[in-house]
Amino acid sequence: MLDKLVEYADSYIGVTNPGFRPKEVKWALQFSTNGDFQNVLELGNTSDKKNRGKLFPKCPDFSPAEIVSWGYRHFLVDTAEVVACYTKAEKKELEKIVAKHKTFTKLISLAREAMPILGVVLNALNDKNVLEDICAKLKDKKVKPTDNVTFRIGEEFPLESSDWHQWWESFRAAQSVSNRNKDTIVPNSKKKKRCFISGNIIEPVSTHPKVSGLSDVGGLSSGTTLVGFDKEAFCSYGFDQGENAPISESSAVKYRAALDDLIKKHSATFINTKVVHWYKYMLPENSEDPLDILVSGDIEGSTLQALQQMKKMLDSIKNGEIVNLGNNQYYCLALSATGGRIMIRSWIEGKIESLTQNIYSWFEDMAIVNRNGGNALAPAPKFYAVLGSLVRDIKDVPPPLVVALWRSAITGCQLPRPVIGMALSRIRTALSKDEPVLHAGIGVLKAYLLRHYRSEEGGNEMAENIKKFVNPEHPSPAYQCGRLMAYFASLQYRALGDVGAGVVQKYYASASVTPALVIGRLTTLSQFHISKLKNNGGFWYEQRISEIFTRMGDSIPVTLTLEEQSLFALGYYQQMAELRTRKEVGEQEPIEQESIIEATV
Amino acid sequence: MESSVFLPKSQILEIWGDFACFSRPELKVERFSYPVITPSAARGIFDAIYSKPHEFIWRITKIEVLSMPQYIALRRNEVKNKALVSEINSWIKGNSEPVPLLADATQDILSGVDTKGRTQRQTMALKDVHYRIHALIYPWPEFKSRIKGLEEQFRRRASKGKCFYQPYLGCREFPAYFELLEPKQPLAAPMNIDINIGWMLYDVFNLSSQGDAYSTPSVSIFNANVKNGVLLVPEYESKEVLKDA
Repeated sequence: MLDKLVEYADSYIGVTNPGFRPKEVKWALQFSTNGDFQNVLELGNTSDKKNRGKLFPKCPDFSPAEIVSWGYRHFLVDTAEVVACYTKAEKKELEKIVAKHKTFTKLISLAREAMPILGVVLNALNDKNVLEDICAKLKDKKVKPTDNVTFRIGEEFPLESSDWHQWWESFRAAQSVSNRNKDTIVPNSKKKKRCFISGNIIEPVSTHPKVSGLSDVGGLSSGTTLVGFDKEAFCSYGFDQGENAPISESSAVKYRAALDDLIKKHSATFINTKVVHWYKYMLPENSEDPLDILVSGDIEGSTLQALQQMKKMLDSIKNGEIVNLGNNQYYCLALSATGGRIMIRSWIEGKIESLTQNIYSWFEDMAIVNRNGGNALAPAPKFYAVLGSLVRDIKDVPPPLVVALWRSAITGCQLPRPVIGMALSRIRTALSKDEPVLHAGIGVLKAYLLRHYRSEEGGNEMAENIKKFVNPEHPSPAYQCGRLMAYFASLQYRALGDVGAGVVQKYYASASVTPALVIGRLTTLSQFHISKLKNNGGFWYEQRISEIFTRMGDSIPVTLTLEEQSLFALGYYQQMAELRTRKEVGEQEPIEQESIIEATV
Repeated sequence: MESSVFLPKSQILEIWGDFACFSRPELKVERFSYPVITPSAARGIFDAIYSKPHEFIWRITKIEVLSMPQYIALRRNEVKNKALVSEINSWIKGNSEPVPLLADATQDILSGVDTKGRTQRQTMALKDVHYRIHALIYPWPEFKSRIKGLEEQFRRRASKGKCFYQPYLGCREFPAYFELLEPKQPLAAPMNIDINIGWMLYDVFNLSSQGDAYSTPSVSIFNANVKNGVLLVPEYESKEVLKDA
């Protein structure tokens, strides 16, 4: 998978040489070409409250390990604290900051040979009075000591110049050699290994660069390592650190740059998991990104429109209308972090055609009648909404389940079985509290059942019986019991109006698990409700209920499995939606005020 | 080979197990498994059943994937440190008691140092794995004439389910179960899957020479491509297998 990240860096990111990295810089110290300090400038989109600054694509970069072992600070861009000793720190801390400032200016003095204009900055930074002036201006602008700062001389940013590039590369190389000579016992020739990414003979990098942007999924804000062997127990065969999985420095820098870029531009966060995706070839402008549609549910209207959109895309791929899309490949990586280390949770790759087909199937399998009826489908579920339908607090979804569901969505495989248990529990709780049942929760049950039956031998017939709308012909007694429950609820409401805790609130939970224990009591109860209605629709209800009993035959199931409980829930939900749609129920008014399913997602 | 009599015959084992983890070396701390068994892990299974390192070495030729690769996330307590050789030597001589490495306790109970003896790491393992593995016995030159006998011994052991130790699927806690297949036995078709794995670990030791317990490791890799559920493993000496300089 790392080779695919390197491919991405080669194709989509310009500069990925070791020692360089794109950086966002929010502030610049403005100097005249004569060396006079003039002002502090805010860079980037200054009208944006969350302005992160201007992106410089090729900044000099030291890894944290290099900073520690080589004893230098960053070059040309660093925190305001280091650049200008801009701090409120006490004496001891201040001494450390001054020491850092000195190493920062030392690098500038070394680089002056290659870029004489830097002498302007150096003189200013070595002058106490100028530093005080800079600090005062930084304070005026409310700059944080940890904000990145660079320089502008006249109209030019030295960061954007290429004059220092060669000097920087040779400086890093010299540092690398001198550092290696200090600690290495094994001769260099013995350290040549096969790179696990490129397959070339290389000298493996000892510690890998850190990936940023994973602090929201458990990583550190200073960066998180993907490949690292920090503990002795994780080194094998006498190998030291990076030798355990030899990777060259340039490949390591490339995969890090690719991950940084993907996290920034093509990622979605689901609780503790961050998903990044990309394509081998850039998608043409006239095509949609199917994974974006899955993640953001970026579709106006119902699932039907989502399906139409995906179908159109599929047809375009099949007909070759969108050039190069048919051969394109997708890659999808799910990441979490713990402390300083990245955990890969999933890696999926495949053809874009199968991806589009699978996402189409995801929406198709999840499609369910709108709870308000009216022959309309529920809105297309965002992936996040699907997760939210399983638990009360979204943070309670375990990360492995997020990944398993994600895999189901994009590979078309079966949904993990725990999801139906979670969805059912959520539905039961909602109904007992007279709260709305979420469309996505019912969608999950339907999708699970469809894929479960299709994967079984001879299960296609069962799958065909599961429809978006109510299916009165469904052969499962569990499904019919669910429908019966809906009729009982509707009948009670018609007969008595809002009674607070109705049959659903009282009996749904037990009926959905042990119907034989409850249905008898509910049938007796329904007779009282029918007698109340008299000619006002009572006969109609009686007929429907007896039809269902006829379909179920002699036996009402004693206990229901999780799959059968899902069928029960589906039968109840779809029948409720159908009752809402129905216009002609004897002489009764349309049932619109029922308290069972009301709110929107 | 001097005559056709001495040509090694392909030995086929059907291997299955509940879990497996063939850790990618680059992701061996927070473990992430290759989607398919590596040749070295497959060799380890054959070694567990029958091994005479001074007489022959196993070479894997083909891996057939009989179940779709499915991942499962596990979290386990692991130790951070290795046992010290000096401490073990001292224990052997009877000079001191061994200090255990505890995976679920604080070391300060024992030694008064360190904070925790354990560290929790993730394993993205495979579940319900099922492979058919083809391998050859490669005798060292002085044992070439014994190949038939070696093969017969292997077949006797494997057919009775004998092994020196329980074969495992990447990690010792994931036992492998096996069945010897007869050459002309009808075989189920492998899964219809294509996976381009990229560079995959071939082996950690030099398979061309007779090593011993003190041999230095020599990592080799190859471009693994599963086509129609079959991973063809190139010969160790071929150009397709890249070795350290």
